[in-house]
Amino acid sequence: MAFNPKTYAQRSDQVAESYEARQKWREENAHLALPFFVEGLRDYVPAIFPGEMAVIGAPSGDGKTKIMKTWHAQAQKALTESKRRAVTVYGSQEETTENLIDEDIQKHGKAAASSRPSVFIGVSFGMNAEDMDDLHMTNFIHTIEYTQESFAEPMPISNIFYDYIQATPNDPYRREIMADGAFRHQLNDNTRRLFQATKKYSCPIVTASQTGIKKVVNPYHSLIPIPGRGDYAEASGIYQIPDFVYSFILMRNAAPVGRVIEADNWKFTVEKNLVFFWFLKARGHTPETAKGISRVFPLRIINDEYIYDPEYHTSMLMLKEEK
Amino acid sequence: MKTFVPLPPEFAALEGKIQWVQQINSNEYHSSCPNCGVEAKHNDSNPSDRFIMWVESRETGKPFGMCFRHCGYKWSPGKADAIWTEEEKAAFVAKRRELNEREEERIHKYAEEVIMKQNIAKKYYERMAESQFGKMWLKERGFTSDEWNRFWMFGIYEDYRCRGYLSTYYSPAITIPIVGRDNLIEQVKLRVADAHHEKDRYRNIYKTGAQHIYFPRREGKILNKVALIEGEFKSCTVAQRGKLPEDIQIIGMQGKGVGGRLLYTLENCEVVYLCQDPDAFIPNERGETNIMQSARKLGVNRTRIIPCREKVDDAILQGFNFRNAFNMAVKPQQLGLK
Repeated sequence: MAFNPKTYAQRSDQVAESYEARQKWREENAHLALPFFVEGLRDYVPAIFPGEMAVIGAPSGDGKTKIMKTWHAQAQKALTESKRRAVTVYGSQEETTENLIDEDIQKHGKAAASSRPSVFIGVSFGMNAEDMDDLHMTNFIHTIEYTQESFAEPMPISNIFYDYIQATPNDPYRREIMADGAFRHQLNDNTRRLFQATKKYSCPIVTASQTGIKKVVNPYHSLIPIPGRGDYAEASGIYQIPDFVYSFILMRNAAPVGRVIEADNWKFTVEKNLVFFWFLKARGHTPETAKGISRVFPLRIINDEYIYDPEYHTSMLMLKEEK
Repeated sequence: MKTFVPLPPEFAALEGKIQWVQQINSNEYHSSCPNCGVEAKHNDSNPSDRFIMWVESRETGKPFGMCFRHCGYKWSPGKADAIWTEEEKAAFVAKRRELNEREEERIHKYAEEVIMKQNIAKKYYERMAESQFGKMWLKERGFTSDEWNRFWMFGIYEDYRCRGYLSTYYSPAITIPIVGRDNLIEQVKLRVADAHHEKDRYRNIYKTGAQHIYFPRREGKILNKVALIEGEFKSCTVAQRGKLPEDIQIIGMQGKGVGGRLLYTLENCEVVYLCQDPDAFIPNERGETNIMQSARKLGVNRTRIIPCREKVDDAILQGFNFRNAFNMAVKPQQLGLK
């Protein structure tokens, strides 16, 4: 396709006009934004608007998928309550589609799970190995397109959840057109294309990313090793491209349960359900609009929900005189 | 068991071209079609009856035959083809409309003069107030709202004698008055509570010979968008718990069949959502499914299928969100069924 510079070059008056249109659209469509999955932190972490992408980073086994599923369940519930005609898309490179709804069926039964406003994209039980490797980013994006057309009328997509960047199979076509076929370039490319998909499908996208296991380069603190900006495994684009980046660590994987940790202002006992969240990045926001930016919050997993309790938070901080 | 008769002399020209001639009355005969096939039996094992012959047609008074169920082939002594001129089409549509209107009048008259006068639906409804069994039965099936139950006038027939598929026995039966478009009770339907066989579950009190269309919200007119639900009780559950948009009219179908009266009733609807039981998706020995047959009759382009893998009332009671399923409806062609 011939490049058309007219599409890209906008005079300031045109941009000002489209800026206003965008602002108006955001105000009118605030209900389409995806609120942060921890209810108690919604004043600190802005909602993700259509056209924006967020990355959840954590080491392997620290609950990225669990967070994605929890967040997705909230999105399903909100969509159902709104009665809006749209579906959520949950793509997984890690679990079979059957596994993804296993918990929902166990909790709510097959009838309820079968009527969720969702489409699951991924490997299914009984699929052959060759097909499994075909779900690279190009095909994933095509599958969303197919999803929209697989209903009586074109179906709007309310949110896309994608689990996870590093598990995406190599895309042979993209590998050919890149000068260097290195895996990290593929990861950057995949992240960028997923980011572009937020614009194409006009919906928020949440994806997950592994952070390093062997070594944490930029931890929040050596005793509270929440991954930092340099820890997004294998490709810096995973941190650079998205609008929001949230880092997590499940403390019981970093220190034995029961150990008392003292680090800077913090003093707490490691509990098995204790999770730390570090709000690393919020593009286009200021500390006024994203009050929680750069801050660390303790969360607890209670009844499969991630709970933030300010009193609990305060109880974990040492007063100056204590120090 | 159907018996076959010789071809009437008025149709002698069709001798050898049609088979399995059955006499319906002194003026009407059915047979296989001389144009589109001679299949001996339908999948319900009844003989082929797609070609309908009248010794004296209402239009001309002369013999006339036509393949109603398949190719539209017409035969009269002077002309035989499957090509419909505009005049013929207009005449056919007008005739069909006239017949449908006449049928509506007949049902209306019967409802007014027999069913409404006898008012047995009210008698059963009053008995329900005293029946612990009836109330429990309704409660178990999710009809927990007294207000709705009063609106639908659910009643009970405590000692209904059911001539069942395998035996005759007594069972309590829940009654539901089938209220038609004009708010007239056209029929009283029974749900045999202790049915001994699957085929015994539903019975009608009156032998009206008509397909009755049930309006659980009693709108009094046909709206532009309609959701057809298989079964009157299921349509009540959908009306009560389905959370469908206000502009969607819920209609309960009597069983799976999409009959002439239903088609006539829905002829001006823009969109028809169809929700049938899971067995409608199971192919028969020819690979055809009831859901696709229904969709073809209703018109595939205006039909939307609401997918539900269980009977919809059971599913709703188990947490199935009907509104979501409605939002996610598909076109019949997207089912990939025959």
